[in-house]
Amino acid sequence: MSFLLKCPNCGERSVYEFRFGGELRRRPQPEAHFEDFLQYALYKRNIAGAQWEWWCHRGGCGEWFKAHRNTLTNEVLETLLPQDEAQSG
Amino acid sequence: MERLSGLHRCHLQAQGGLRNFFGWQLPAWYTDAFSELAQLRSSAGISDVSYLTKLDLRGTADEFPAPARLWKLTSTRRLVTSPQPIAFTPSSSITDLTSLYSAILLAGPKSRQVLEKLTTLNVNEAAMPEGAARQTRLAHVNAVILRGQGFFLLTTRDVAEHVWEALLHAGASPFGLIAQQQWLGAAHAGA
Amino acid sequence: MDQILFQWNGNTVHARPGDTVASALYRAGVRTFTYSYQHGRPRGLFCLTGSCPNCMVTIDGVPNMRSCTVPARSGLSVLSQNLNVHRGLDVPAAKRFPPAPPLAESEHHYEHTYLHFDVVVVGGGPSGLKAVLESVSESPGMRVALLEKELALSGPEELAHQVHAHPQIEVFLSCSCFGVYEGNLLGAVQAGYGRPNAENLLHLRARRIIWATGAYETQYLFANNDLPGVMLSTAVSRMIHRHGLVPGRRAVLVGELERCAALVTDLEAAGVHIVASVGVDSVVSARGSEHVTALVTKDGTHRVDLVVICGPLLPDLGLIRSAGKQAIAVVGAAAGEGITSRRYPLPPSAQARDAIACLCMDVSGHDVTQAVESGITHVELIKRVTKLGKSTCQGRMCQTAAIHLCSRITGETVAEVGATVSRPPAPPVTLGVLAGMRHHPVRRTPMHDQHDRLGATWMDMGDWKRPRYYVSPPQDCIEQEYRAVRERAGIIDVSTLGKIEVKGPDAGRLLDLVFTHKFSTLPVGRTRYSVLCDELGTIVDDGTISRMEEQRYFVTTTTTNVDFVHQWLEWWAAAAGWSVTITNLTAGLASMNLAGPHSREVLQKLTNCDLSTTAFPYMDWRHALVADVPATMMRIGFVGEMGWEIVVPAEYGSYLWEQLLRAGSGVDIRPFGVEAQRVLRLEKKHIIVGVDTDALSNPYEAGMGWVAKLDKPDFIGRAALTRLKRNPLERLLVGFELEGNAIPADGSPVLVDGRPVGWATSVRYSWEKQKGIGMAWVTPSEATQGTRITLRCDSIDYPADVVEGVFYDPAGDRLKM
Repeated sequence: MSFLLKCPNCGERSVYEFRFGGELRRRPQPEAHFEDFLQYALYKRNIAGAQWEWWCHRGGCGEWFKAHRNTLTNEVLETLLPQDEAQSG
Repeated sequence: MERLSGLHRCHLQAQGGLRNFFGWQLPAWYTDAFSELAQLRSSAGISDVSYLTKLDLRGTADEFPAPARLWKLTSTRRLVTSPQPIAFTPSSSITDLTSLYSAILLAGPKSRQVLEKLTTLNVNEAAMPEGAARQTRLAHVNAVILRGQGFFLLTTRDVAEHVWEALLHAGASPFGLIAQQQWLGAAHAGA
Repeated sequence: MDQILFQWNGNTVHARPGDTVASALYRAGVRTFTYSYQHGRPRGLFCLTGSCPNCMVTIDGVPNMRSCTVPARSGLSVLSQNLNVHRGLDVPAAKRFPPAPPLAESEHHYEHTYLHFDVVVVGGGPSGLKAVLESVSESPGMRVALLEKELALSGPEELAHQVHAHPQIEVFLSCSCFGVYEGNLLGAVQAGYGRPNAENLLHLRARRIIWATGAYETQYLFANNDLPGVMLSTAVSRMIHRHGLVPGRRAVLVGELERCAALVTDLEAAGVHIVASVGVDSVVSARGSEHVTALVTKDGTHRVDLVVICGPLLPDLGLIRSAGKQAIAVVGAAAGEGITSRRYPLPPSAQARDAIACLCMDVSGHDVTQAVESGITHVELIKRVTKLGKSTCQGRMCQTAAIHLCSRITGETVAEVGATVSRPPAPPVTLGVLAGMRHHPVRRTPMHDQHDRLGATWMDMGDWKRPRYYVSPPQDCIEQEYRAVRERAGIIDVSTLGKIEVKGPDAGRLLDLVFTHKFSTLPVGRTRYSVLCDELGTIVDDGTISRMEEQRYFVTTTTTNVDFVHQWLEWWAAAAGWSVTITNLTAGLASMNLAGPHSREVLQKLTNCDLSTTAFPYMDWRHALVADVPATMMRIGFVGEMGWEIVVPAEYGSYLWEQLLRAGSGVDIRPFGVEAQRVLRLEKKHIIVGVDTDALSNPYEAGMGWVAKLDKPDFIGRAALTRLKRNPLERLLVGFELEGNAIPADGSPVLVDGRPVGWATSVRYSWEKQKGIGMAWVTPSEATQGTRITLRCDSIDYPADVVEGVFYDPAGDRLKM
């Protein structure tokens, strides 16, 4: 694995500068059923294809951002800062 | 009382002895200032510049007069460095990183070749012109690299010694504060 | 003339400047260079391009070096390989892998270099040179690299000169590209870099890659085709032109004779008598034992000492095929230019059977035929069943022959038989060059030098160095340190623990969300302990949080978890869009814990701050000058004695440490290390996250339910903790006292009636109790005072009794003196 990832702040860098933070998920409201929390904590959609996910530029600016990456080809389609709109699933 | 840099143990063998520079105990020279300067001008040298004031600015448009220098890290975050202390009002926008970061000046015509041994960052002239600031990995630790009169390598203080050794291994030679002040010139010396 | 002398199997060999190890050995009369790996067959020079295994020798301890690519140098020690296989001395089961050498420092020097180019061209022949010059002219700032595996560029001298002189072109000679990876990353090894026995690993990122590796010559199949003296035409040409060597006296040429017209002239000019030129289909076998002596054909036997194989040319594309969809432009002979494509000639079946198809693994035509006839008809399967192509050349020399052989037997087309994929690294690389220089980061506190001077014995905690104890022997020493803290005063360097500043309008809100306790309501001036949990209620880390100002907090974490906690806080803030500045200040602050019944009087000598309990109660913090250094003092107590954690900017740490030791000399203060601290805190049953807790521990079973404030509207783990609080516990962390003084190891299983019920997390000798004590996970039925349990360590049983409550100062009076 040696693809390049474009940090919205720092530009294109080796993937080893980053930490993967999992797919984008919506956290249940505090009053939700416990089963919803279990689903949120333990289950992943694990899409074979393009998915929105979190990355942290731990070897660079240290900030978190969202990436739209194809999990089959590692092609990174887009990266966004957290406050920018993403088509989350 | 004396302020000791994170590279203090690296300076203990310096033949010029440790003296007060900018309020810190730093080596005047390691072997001799003249040959250190010659080496620096023909090859690559490293020198301790940890005394630099370093401030982190977020979401503030404050300006700082010379000899302070501003560096852009992200769209909301900037770094200020200065050989002199900087007066500022503490707030959640400004954080003093002077103690947190050790700083090493890497300079000389071969300094790029030294960096190319230690980081995957693109340090070509076009990719890193004068005034550029990059946050990346250097010798397996996090670093901020500022391109000024040479490369200012900021790392957290706990790994300073490790980074100094990696730079020596990669072909740089140490130079002390006398040669350093020659290199950086009057604009930097200030105090 | 320079004298180059090296050792060959213990004998001295002379070499000329420009010689490779192979050419020098050949000139010295060596014909058998090595023996093959499987059957110990004699092998000699064959390709002279580094494509086959026949000249592989061990040089200065590095095995499988292709001697035709290694420049001869004084002092080398060269050994042939597999002699024992040849002599039949190797025991089959044991012979495959030599024992790994000890992990000593290598004499070889390994470097890494990371470079970025607009274009990287692989191959310095005519099309490579052309491609480089075209690329560099595309735009003014272009930076182009050219990788060439041989010692010099080949191709027109005029172009080579231009390339070398161009300021935007960087040429890497003796540089072999072994892999192309995702993101246009090329891996290449530059040999003899800067000094002998040195290798440089190049990581090259390219915007574009151009593949100009040319074509290479491959072999024919006939019996004894692997004898020394049977050589590819490329090899013969190189021997004559590069090394001034005459490879024989009587020669026969086999194969694509039209391609080799120039070679015929060269051979004749060198005084070689060309006895015959024959087609592949007329060859029966080569004859000879250690060297070829004749070539048997259908038309008669030719007595020769050189068989020149004018073999088919194949584009050198192996690595590209495995690189997948990367857009790599292929130019020149590698793209098939100038290569007439024709059917690969096979000898009649009988001859093919006795040929060596795979030189690396000694796979014969017979082996391949047998596999195919038994139904293995795809070359990938042939490879796995026969081992053909599984060795260092990855099928370069053998694949084509095997594919055509299979095609002939089965009637399938060549395309149907398939092709194998060559995988990086190709060619092989040493593990040393992949590893590079060993330079693992070491983290040191500001007081590191002080500890050295005090005679500390060091331990590793992640990347950090911490004093384990001061001065040997350890047992007495740790007791002395312990007693100093319990009876007088001790000081420990705790700078390694994480220190994170969280400030901004949403700081309190963020801490309320991430930690289990309440922080937006913590008064300024106070410190509070908390844990942080994940969504399943598992303890992830712990620490104290101090409110420094309305909107500024100081968070501490365990030593090895600070990066995680920092990223975790950043993530929640980013996801919520909250306004907060989070800074990891760990390395910028020196912190030391001064503890003991006399700690107040020691500290009072250095500060005007009122340290009395009324003015400075337990769990408060204050700013003050200590020995004229601006400090923050926190009154907390991990070790169970009155004490303060003193935090100062790192540049003053060493100075302050010394001042505190000096101020404490009157009460015989001692520096104490991690070992003594472990005993002190264990007597108070203070947990260490990651030692006493694991990846499943929740606060209730750890006996810390009070730390989870479920009345907060929301925090990470609240839903799970609400559930867990209602459910019966499945296990509990309890204290125990051992019967005797012998101490079993941390992690020892706990048994009741021979049944395992848990394990001991921390076990130490307690000077307070004068016996061993510890903490262990047990099931609820064992968790009552007096229950008998047994620890087992190294097959020895250690009886113990469960103890409720702490082992030292249960009321906690010592902390609040």
